[in-house]
Amino acid sequence: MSSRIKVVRIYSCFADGLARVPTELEISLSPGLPSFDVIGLIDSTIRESRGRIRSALISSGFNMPKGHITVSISPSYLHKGGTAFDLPAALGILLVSGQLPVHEGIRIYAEGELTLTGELRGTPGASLRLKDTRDYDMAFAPSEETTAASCAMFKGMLAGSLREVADTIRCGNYLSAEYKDFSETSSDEAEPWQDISCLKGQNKALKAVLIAAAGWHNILLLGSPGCGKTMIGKMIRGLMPPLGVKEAADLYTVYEAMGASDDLPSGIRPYRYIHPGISRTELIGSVGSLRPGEISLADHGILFADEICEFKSEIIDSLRIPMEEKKIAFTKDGRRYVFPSSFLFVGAGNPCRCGMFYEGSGRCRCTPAVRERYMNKLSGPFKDRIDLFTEMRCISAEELRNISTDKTRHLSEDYKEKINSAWQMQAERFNGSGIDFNGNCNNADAELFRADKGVIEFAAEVADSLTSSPRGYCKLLRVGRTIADLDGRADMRKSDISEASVYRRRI
Amino acid sequence: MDDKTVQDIEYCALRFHSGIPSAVIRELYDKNIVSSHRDLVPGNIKELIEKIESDEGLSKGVKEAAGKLKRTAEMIRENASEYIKAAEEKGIFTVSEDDPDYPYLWKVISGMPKVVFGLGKREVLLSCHTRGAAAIVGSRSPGSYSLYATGQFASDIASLGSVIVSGMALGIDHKAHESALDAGGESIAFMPCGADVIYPYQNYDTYERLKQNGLILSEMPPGKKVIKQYFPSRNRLIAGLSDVCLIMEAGLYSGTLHTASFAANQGKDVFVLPNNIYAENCLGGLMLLKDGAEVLIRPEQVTERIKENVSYRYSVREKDKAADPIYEVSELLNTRPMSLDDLCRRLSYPYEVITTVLTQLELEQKIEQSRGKYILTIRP
Repeated sequence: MSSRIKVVRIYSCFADGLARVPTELEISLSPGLPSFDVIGLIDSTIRESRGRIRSALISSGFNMPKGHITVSISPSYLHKGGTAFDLPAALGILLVSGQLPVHEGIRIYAEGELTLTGELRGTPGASLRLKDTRDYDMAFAPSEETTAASCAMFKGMLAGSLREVADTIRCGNYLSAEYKDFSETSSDEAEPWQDISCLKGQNKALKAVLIAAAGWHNILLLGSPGCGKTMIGKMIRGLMPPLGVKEAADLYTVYEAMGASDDLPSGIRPYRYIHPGISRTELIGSVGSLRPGEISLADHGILFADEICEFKSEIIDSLRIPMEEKKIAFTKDGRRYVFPSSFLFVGAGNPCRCGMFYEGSGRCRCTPAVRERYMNKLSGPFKDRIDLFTEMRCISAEELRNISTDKTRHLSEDYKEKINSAWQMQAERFNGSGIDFNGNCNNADAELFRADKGVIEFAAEVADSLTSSPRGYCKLLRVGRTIADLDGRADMRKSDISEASVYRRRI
Repeated sequence: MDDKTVQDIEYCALRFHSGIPSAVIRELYDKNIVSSHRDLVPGNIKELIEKIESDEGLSKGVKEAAGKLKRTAEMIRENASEYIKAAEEKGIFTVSEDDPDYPYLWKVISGMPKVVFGLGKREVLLSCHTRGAAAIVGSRSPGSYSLYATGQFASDIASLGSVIVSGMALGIDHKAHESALDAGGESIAFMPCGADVIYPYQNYDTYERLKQNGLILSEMPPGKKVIKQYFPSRNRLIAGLSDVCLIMEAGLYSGTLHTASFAANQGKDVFVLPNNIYAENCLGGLMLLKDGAEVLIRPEQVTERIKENVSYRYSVREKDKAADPIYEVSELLNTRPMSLDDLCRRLSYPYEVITTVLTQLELEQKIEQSRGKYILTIRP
């Protein structure tokens, strides 16, 4: 009997969270009453694929073979879902039933969802799955996945239908193409953002924004309602150099894996806006469905928390680990999943419940107890992870008139250049140490930062007498280093520390 | 005892026993015959008389004073040595015009003594300067309401660091001293007699406490008994040493009203506790209220006012450093609290200079941030 069972192997891949799991599909056909089983810890999306495969085969002009068909997807100890196994299963059935010639020793990679008419459809996670597929002799993916293919540097063939794939195998005219240059597929059409010159008159906030963008320092803006806090988050993104090709590809992979690639404005850094109503799952990501949260979607970009003091404290505190580690790890079914989260945190909020605390005296109606309770929403350890604190205040129309706007029309462009060179200085400084910015550097090394003894002692003095946290000293040096970088100076000065101290935590 | 203290005491003896009126002394200063009170000591009398006699441009009063000096020189010398001996025995020190802890407020009011005698903790004078002082005065036989309020206000103000100044009389004065010390604060008693004389004797305990934890001051030389005529002059010093004056209870023709009018004339704020309109003993205070004195309701009124005064003192002191960013920043902050942005808008210095100055001032604890703006602190 055993000799009558035929088995064919097709290779595919499965995106488990953001992890790539190469899978092997074994398709066997044995005589008996017609049946079609798919096994290997599959969920209903795969189980339903039997209907699509049967219909697709028939509409593409093939037969559904008579007999026991078993499709086993390994590794079978992993829970799997998704519809990308349609094409490999269908191809396997064609090969095992002899409708397509089997070339011994040829390893075929395939993925894609089938429609009832036999056309191929893309599925989320393709940019992840299509990575590292160069070892296969033939590789097929739906033609809808062009962007994902170039993101993953896929080498193979993109096909529009099952018929096309089958013809290629039968006639042996497989032609692989190299997909790359992901950056070219992204459009340069960036969303217009406000020029930083609208912050004129708020020197402190403006400088803080520059430092944040230049050194990747988390920043908290406190100010009265309507003073332009929300605008600042987008401004910081605009000031930063564009995404590198690798960063863009990484980011696209995350977005694509959750089927939200359209949300990603191509080429520019992500800007994720979170509001006080957000749930922990939305923010951090879901363990159950392995869906990345806002913090992962803000990778390499800005996570902007508006009305930060209105958040539940446990939601804010859940940001602590990702801010420190630049990634977030989950454990599900004994496996560990890691999502990236190297975002720049920008928080904005009111200084008190009525919001007018910084405005002229008498306008704030909050009692000290109310104010304290309000600010205590932010825990000490969380505030420790924020390098820059700045207040903002409404600029009166009269003051605005005094500020000339002619010369400062395109301030952003000048600052962009400064920030660009600051980034380059940091890249040279941290070359190969796994850190890319001053803001991520946890041990402020005097030699690395090029701070002489006087500067170090001054920083220690300021930290001792003006800050309350042991991290204060480190923060002063980090921020001071970025100020020197923005100035284009190799060595730090005492004035850098003095300026950094202005942005220290006071709440 | 050092020469300085000896000279101070000798000067006092001269002033006390020569019978020269203040107007003459002022004229001597104006005509540059004496440059400091140290020239007015017994050892200098001969020289002084010569100078006065050789100068033709002096008034008649001064010429007369020279004669007085001649007559009293011997008595001054005797008394001076007596005072010096007493001061040495009792541990009395002197605070004179050229001492760093001479009350700053006295420098800006005319007619304040150039030398005072002190007994107790000399540092309290420094607290007066850095944290301000409040005079609390009132009737010697107060009602229970005024007495209760005195205790409350004195301990509230003292516990915030300000010094309570009073006259160690019975009633309100006594209560004010005791409450301030009970609250762990500091207190100064101005005596109408020598600093070593306990008056009234019923307040022996308070006197001893003040000697330990506070300060006893007097314009009178050691050992001098109480002179009733001297009370108003003493009240003037109480008002002069304080930033604000609190009248707890005052009759229509009382010494307390003197203190209030001195305070008002010296430009101090006078707070009056609203009291019973049917009590004879309270009418003086109520009349002050009618004339526009401030109504004393909460201790915060007083502490706020003291804060303002103290911060003003600091800024005045630093006026000699023009065209200096530190000076300009403190000067601007003196007008009102300002944020960093406000400062940038008003000053032409580069941003990093301003931030450096601010951090420097913060390190020195001269400014602090409140409501997102920088303010001058009232700490030293």
